[in-house]
Amino acid sequence: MKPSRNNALNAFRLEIVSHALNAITEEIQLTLLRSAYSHVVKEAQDASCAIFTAAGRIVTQPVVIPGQLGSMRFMLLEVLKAFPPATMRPGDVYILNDPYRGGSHLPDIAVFRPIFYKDRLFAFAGCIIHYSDVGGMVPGSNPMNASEIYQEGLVIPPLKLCEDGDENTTLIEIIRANVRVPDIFMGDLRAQEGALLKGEQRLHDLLDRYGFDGVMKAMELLIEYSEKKAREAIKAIPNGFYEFTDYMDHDGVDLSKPVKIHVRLEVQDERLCFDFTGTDAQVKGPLNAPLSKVWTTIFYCVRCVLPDDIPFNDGLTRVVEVHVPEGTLLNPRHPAAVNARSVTVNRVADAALGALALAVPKHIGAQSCGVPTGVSFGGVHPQTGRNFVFYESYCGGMGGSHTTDGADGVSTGSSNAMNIPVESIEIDYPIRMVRYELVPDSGGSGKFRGGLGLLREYEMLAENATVSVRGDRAQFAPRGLYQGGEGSFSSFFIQRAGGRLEKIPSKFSGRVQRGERLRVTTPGGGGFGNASERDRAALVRDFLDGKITAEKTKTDYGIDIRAEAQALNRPKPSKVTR
Amino acid sequence: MKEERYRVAVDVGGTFTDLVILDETSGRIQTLKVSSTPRDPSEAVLNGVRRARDDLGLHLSHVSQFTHGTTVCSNIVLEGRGARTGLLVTEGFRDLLEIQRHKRYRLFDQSYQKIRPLVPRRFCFGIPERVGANGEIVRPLDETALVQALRQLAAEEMEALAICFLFSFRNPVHENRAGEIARDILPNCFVSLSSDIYPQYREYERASTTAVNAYLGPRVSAYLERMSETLVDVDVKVPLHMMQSNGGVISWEEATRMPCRIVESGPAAGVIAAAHFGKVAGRRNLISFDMGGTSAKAGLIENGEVRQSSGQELGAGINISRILQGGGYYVGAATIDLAEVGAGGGSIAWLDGGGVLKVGPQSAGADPGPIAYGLGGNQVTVTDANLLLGRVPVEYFLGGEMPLDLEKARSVVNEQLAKPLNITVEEACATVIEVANASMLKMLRIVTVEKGCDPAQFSLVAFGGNGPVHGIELAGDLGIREVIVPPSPGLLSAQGLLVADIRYDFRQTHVGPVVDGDMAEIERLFSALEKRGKEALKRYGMAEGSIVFQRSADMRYQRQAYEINVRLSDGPLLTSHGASIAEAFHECHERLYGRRDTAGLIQFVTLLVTAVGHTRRLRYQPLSNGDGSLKKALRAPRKVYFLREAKMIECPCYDRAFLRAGDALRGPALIGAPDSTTVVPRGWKIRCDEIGNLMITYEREVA
Repeated sequence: MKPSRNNALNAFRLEIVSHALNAITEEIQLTLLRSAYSHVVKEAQDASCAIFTAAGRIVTQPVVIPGQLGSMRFMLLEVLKAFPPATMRPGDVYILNDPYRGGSHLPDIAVFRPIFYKDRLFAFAGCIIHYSDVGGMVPGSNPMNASEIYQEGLVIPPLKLCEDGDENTTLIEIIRANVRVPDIFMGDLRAQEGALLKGEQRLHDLLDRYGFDGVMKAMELLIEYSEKKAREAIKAIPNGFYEFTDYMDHDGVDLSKPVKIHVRLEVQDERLCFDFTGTDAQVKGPLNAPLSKVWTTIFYCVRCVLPDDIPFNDGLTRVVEVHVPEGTLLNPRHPAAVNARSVTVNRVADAALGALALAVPKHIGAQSCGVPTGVSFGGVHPQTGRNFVFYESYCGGMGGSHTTDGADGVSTGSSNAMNIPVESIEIDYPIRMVRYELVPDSGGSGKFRGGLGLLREYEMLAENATVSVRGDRAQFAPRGLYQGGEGSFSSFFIQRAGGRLEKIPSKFSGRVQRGERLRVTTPGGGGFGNASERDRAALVRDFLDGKITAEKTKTDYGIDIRAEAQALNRPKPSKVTR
Repeated sequence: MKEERYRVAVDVGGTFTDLVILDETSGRIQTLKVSSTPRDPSEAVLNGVRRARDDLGLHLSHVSQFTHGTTVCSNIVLEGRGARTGLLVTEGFRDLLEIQRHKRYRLFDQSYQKIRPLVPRRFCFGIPERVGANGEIVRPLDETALVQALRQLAAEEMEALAICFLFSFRNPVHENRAGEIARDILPNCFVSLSSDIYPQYREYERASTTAVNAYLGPRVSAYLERMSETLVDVDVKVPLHMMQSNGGVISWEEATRMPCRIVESGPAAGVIAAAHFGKVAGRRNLISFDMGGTSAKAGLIENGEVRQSSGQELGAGINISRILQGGGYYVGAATIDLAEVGAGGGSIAWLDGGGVLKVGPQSAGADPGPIAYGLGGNQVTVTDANLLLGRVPVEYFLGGEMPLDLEKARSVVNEQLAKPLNITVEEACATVIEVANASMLKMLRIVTVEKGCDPAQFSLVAFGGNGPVHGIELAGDLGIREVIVPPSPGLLSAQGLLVADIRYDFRQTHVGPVVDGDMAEIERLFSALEKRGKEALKRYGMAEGSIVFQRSADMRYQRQAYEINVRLSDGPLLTSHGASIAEAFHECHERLYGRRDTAGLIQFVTLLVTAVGHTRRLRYQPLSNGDGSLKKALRAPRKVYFLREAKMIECPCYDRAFLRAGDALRGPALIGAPDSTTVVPRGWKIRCDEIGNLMITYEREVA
């Protein structure tokens, strides 16, 4: 076939189109963040979007929350199963959250819009938001004592949210009747609809410029490019089997028993196979993780050992295999509860990265804090008399690496939410923030120490509110690497009326009264390398900055830090040159 | 006899300090270039002003406007040379600057590190006090604890102090009181209050902006005070004015109080000038490409509007998308959007461990400068490579005033690069240029391609001392069809200072409904802001007739966290205007975010007045028409290295000073001038327009 002028995309044109596609997904993402109503989205940025081919393959996605990348792919495939492309029309919009049909837990609701160009289905634009409440047993839809999905909120199978541009009012009314704060829910849902509409407009602009075939070709080349680059990188990893086992404190219902995750990684030429046989059977509590979420997590881990410049798209799915027996923690049978699966997949990441660390030693650091601790409150706002639901999540210390200390108080692993500003919380919720600081001594010791964990303390200003905490690593601390020390444990306390301090488990749902306080301490990261090799100046700097105490420098590093600090003649301040 | 009036602009760059003097009567522009004096930048300014007086016969008392742009602020932050700074925050929130926004900006990097806070943790103190969300006092300020913290900071010899308490933008009473006591205990300390510097919610962003402000304060105020005094000493009678990051100008006293607003002062001027010259040439879609001694920068002008952002993150690096932007020091001040790479004439070429040749980000700057300057430089720079490849004719370099030592440059290139790589000196120099160009291409892509703009739809304005040396070959690689090289490209940023309008932004937080809101109160607030604007501009000597006020408001649907700035009509506001303002917001929201929430309650959040004093339009002295012969401009041909040919080829040379309006020529050509050489490869044609712009257009593919 003779290549036509229009088809002959040169390399430079490809680059322009691929960057333009990236710019479009970024615009969808920005539109979501800027126009949403809930704090989870507008401040914490717990939202993702992507553009897919008409067959449902990911082409581009802005890498914001790695843990959401990939889930959407499974959800779109379920939409395509329920609604064959031939039945789709311009102006249709699809919605779902069912964890047993591609989803990962009920608060993550995905919306997809088929993009038509000149009456042909060209692509899909999709986005996913973490909703702060979708009904169920507790405000925030994260009951730590749930044992069936029915307790966790409203299940939405693949459905049409809009048909030919008109909203499905029946569906909307059912949703509104099932969630605790319908106005905020609708604000977020409309942000999703608006963002995808924006994406459609931009894609049409691009198609007008480069044509259906031109853009399509560029999409395919992008996916091929990623696959090729990924294969090259994996080829450089030595073939073999690498195994790792890690644990979670308990499943939220049976507090006496730790939960085991085991992985065996096989590196075979240009492929990576992760086999989770040996992982515990599905649990009674809400820690079960749907398979799509496990896949997503594995993509994140694989991405960590690939070169930086590989675009994150469908090409990567072709070099990775994941095997999980049915009926286990990571591939549960309906109707197991799943709302706390983000704890589980973070441990999946710890295990998978642990195995990868054996295969490609220098690329992977010591274990990070290992869980985005989720906190939610619900009740009636004393000033407005209306329901409120508050939800946020945050991490702690990052693990030390072969070149640097772990970062302090930072999102780690496959989560990457921003913190919600204290001022933003207090403007909208009957909550007063009491403390938000780093935890001294919490980083594992080592040549490169682990990052420090976070302390966040809340005072409830409403009467008789609910509280849910979703944490972990209160019994299994983040591990060090190459003789590095462990990071600190997490801990959770409620300061009851009268000042009594009540220790609560890492997964907890209960009540707090007005004036009572919740104090959350998240884990520090593990250390990397032997503590005796730590740079003295760095140790002194940490001491002067109050990040480590004299006691810990004595026990872990065997150093009298006060003498050391004095000996290290402190530099005088530079004078202002006038 | 008509009295002479001059506008003077001074741009302090990393390598050179440029002066541009406009005779307002005749439209004549004169230029001067002196070496920068990084240890005390005002020294170079004074040198320049004295030379203008002595060599050009400028009557300094007749100066009607003296505007200054500088990269001093960003350099201070990037090089960590700011003040020893302390921070006071609300007790319990000591780690605002450590935790930042908790997010990672490189997701898959196992060695991720946050940027190191400008205030070390040991100098951050939590003070018992608390203001609530409605501005109510929840816990009174504990002055004993405050005094104790301040005494500790005094013992540590603080030079600057930032104070950022929670909800101070709602009620600044605790911050004000703490400020008073601080000035008492630390009398020589530069104190910044967050409620004064950036009265906006979100504690990290406010604390960071305030910390940057304090960190810069002592150095910047010392610098500006010294410079202002110096100008008075030499009989300049108008007050010194400063370019802000947003491309407008404010007084030096204001800049001293708010150095965070002039962080991108120097680069902003360049983009303003590029927009101006583009407009004069009838172009509205432009890429500004500014390559100086230490770095290269690119900005975008779409439809005549310079692309701006509401804040910036200093030191975040360049390869960032709009969403994953960040990781740098947040500065909440309107800023012209720029991408930057460490590739300038002075950037040093070196071999990394694996024997790969790299260029920058280290720069030899003006001192010691390139090897060929003979000022002690002993590392190969981009300028050395250009000189050895014949791309910058020695006889034009700084007007031929600077003696150049090419032999030394050649031997060092041989020693440091050619021998280890086992290539010729010529090949080594060409590699240096190619590597520098690759990083500049990436930068140019970031401002165009990565924002979904096709560079082919834009004209490139090439300036800075090295912009026209590299710009045309870069344009060719990007598919750009037209390059504009303005007159005196090496001094263009300074010319931006001449044409920039004076802009004062005034803002007032007012959270309230748009429909059925208290319009009388809002009108009163707007009028008060305008009154302040008028006073500020009158102090500058602006006639009332040339002052324009722009009213706008940051608005949002009640539940949202981000506001949209909506232009309002000039007033007076009446209650009946509520509906039309609401409609304007709905429209903006729909345009930006694809939907409107008809049932949503719309709020004002911040009222803004921008007081603009339009500077008088520049009249350029037109060039006389040429006779088409080019005889006067033609110089002896020379051997010049072009990247596409990958060898030295015989190339005609022209002296730009003798080009006239309408003159046309073809590449390959070298057009020499004291401030910058224009390197035009084969395949491009050049036309000199009426005011001396070189309009360089792509003609054909070279076989």
